[in-house]
Amino acid sequence: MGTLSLFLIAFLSAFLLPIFTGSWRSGLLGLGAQTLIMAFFAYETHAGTDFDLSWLLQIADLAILRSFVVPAILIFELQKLRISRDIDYVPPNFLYWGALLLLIGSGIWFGFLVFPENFDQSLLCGTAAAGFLTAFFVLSLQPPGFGQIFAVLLLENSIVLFEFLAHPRLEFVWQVTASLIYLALFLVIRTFLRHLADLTPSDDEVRDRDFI
Amino acid sequence: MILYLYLGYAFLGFLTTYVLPTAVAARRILFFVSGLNILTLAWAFATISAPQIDFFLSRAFVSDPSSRLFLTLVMQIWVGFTGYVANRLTLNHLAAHNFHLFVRYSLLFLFFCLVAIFSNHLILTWAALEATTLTVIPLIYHQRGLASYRAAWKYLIFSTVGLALTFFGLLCLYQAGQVQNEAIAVPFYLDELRNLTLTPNIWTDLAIFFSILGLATKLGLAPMYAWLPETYDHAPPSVTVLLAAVQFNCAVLMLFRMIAVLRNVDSTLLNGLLIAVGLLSLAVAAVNIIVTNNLKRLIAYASINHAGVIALGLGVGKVGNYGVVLYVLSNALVKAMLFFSAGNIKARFGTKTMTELQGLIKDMPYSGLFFMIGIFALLGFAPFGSFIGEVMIMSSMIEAGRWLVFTALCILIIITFVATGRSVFPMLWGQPKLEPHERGESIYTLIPNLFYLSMLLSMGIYIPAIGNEVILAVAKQLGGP
Repeated sequence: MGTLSLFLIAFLSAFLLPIFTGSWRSGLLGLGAQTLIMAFFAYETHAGTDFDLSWLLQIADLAILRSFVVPAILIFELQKLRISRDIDYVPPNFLYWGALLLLIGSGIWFGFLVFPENFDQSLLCGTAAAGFLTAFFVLSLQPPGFGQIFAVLLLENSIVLFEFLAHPRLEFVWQVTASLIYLALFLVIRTFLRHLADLTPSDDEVRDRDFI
Repeated sequence: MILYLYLGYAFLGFLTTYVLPTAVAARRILFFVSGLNILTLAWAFATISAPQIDFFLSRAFVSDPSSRLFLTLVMQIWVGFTGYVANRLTLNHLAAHNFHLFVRYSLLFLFFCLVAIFSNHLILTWAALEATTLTVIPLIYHQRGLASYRAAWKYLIFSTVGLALTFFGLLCLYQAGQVQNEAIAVPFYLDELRNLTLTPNIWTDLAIFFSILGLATKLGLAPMYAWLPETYDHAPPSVTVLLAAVQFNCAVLMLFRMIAVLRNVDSTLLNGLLIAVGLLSLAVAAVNIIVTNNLKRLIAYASINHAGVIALGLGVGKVGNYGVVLYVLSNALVKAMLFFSAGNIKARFGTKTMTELQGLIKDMPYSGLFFMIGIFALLGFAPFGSFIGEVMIMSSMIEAGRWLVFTALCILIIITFVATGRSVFPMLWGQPKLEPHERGESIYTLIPNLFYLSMLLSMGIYIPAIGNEVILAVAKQLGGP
C-alpha cells in the first residue's frame, strides 16, 4: 500500500468519524482534517519537482484557508450562538446508516470500476465519489442550518480531492479564481450563520415588505 | 474596447456607492450607469458587424454573436430595472432605506453577469455565475423579511450545489481527455473546445450528466427546482427580475456554450437528458400552476415551464435552434414585464393572493394592461415572439419525428394555458374590491414595459436584418443533428 492510499484512508476516516460522532465541532474539525490531509498529499505528489505557482497556491488554499481559517471562524461563530453541541448528520437508525454505508461502498466501487488497473487512482477516485455521495445524502436529510453548511463544505472538499486526478493541474489564474470563490462562499455562509435561528420557520412569520 | 467600457461602468458605479453612500447619489449612479450602457450599446450596434468575433485579455474574454445578443438583452432588462426602482423610490419613501447598499450589490451583480456573458473560458464562466449567486443574496433579503431570508438560504444551497455539479462535470470532461489513448489535455477555452473530439466513455457521460444537471438546477428545471418559486416569490420584485431575466440568461448562455461543445461528444445522451428534464419541468409547472393562488409564484412556475420548453427545444436540436433563441429572448422580456407589473400590484394592494385581487385594469391601467399583455405573451399567443419561438420548436419536433415529445408538450401546454387563464383573468376584470395602500402609478412604470412590448411584437412580426443575422449566428453555434 503506497503513501497515497494511506492518505486516502485517513481522508475517508476524517469524513466518516464526524458523521458517526455527531457534533458540529467534530464536523468542522473533520472538514479541517480532510483538507490538511489533502494539503500533505498535494505536497507529496509534487515535492522535489519544478517550481509551480499553481501547486503552491493549492497547498496554501488547502492548508491555511480550508484547514484552519474556515473551521476556526465557524467554530467561533457557532460557540457565540450557544447552540446544542449534538447534531445528527444522518438519523441514527439502521436504515439510514445502512444507506450511508451503501453509498460509500458504491463510491469506492465506482473508483475501481473506472480505474481497474491502478489501485491508488481507483482509491482516489472512489474516495472522492464516496465523499460526493455522502455530501448529497447529508444535504437531503438536513433542515436549513448548520447540517447543510457541513454538507456543502464536504461536497467542496470532495470536488477538490477529485481535482487531484487532473493532470496537468489547473493553471494558476483558475486556481486563484476557485480559491476566491470558496472564500466568498464562506463569507456569505458566515453572514447567514450569525442569524441561524431565523432560518427555522416559526408561526409568527413576518410578511414580505416589497418597498423596492 | 466595448467590453472594458461595460465592465468599467458597472465596477466604477459599484465603487462610487462607497464614496457617496446616500439614496439620492445611488439613484443618480444607477441612472448614470444605465445611460452609459445604452449609449455604448448604440455605439456597438453602429460599429460591429453581426458575425465578428474578437478576443480580449489573452483569450479569456470573447465578443461573439452569442455574447452580443445576450448583452443586448441584459441591458434592456437593466434599463427597465432602473426605471422600476426609480418608480418605487418615488412612490414609497421606505424604499430609500439602505438604497445605496441595494445599488452597490446590483452593480456588482451586473459586473459578474457581464463577465459570465463575455467569458471565453468555461471555468471563468462558472466562477462568474457563482459570483452572481453570491452577490444577489444580499439583494434577495434586502428588506430583511424572515421569509426572504429563508428563501435566500434555499437559493444559496441549491445554487451552490448546482454549480458544484457543473464544476464536477467540467472536471469529468477534463478527465475524459486524460483516459483517451492520446491523453488529450482538454482546454477550457471555448474556441478550442468546439474543435474537441472525444470518444464517448464513462467520463464523457458523467461530464454531460453533471454539467447539464448542474445548469438545470441554476435554471430552475426539475428535478432541482424547489428554490425557484420560493426565491422568486419572496425576493423584492426588482430582484426577481434580475434573477429571472438577467441571471437566468447568463446561465442559458453557459448552457448554450456547453451544448455546442458536448454535442460533438455524445449528442444522443445530451439530447435525451435535455428532453427528460424539459418534460419533467413542464409537468411540475403545470401541476403547480393549477394549485397556486399566489401571483408571483404563478409567474415563477410559468418560468419553470418556459425553461422546460427551452430544454426541449435544445434537446430536439438543429432545426429548433432558431426557435429556441427567439423563445429565450421573448421569455426574458415577458418575465421582466410580468414581475414588474406584479411588483406594482403587490405594492398597491399589499397582497399577492390572486383571489383577493379584482378589477386591475380599472384600478391600475398601466400595470393591469401590461400584466394582461404579458400573460398573453406568456401563454404563447400571436403575434408575440414567444408564439413564433414555440411554433418553431414544435415544428422542429415534427420534422425530427419526435411525436411522443410533441404530444406530451401539447398536452402540458394546454393544461398550463387553461390553469393560468382560470387564475389570472378574474383578477383583471370587474370592480376593484381592495383599498389601495399606495398612490397611483408614475410614468416610469410605463416606459420599460412599453419598450418590452415593442420588442416582443417586433420578434413576432418583423425582425430587423441585423437582429436576424445575430440570432441565426447564435443558432448555428448551437449545432445539432
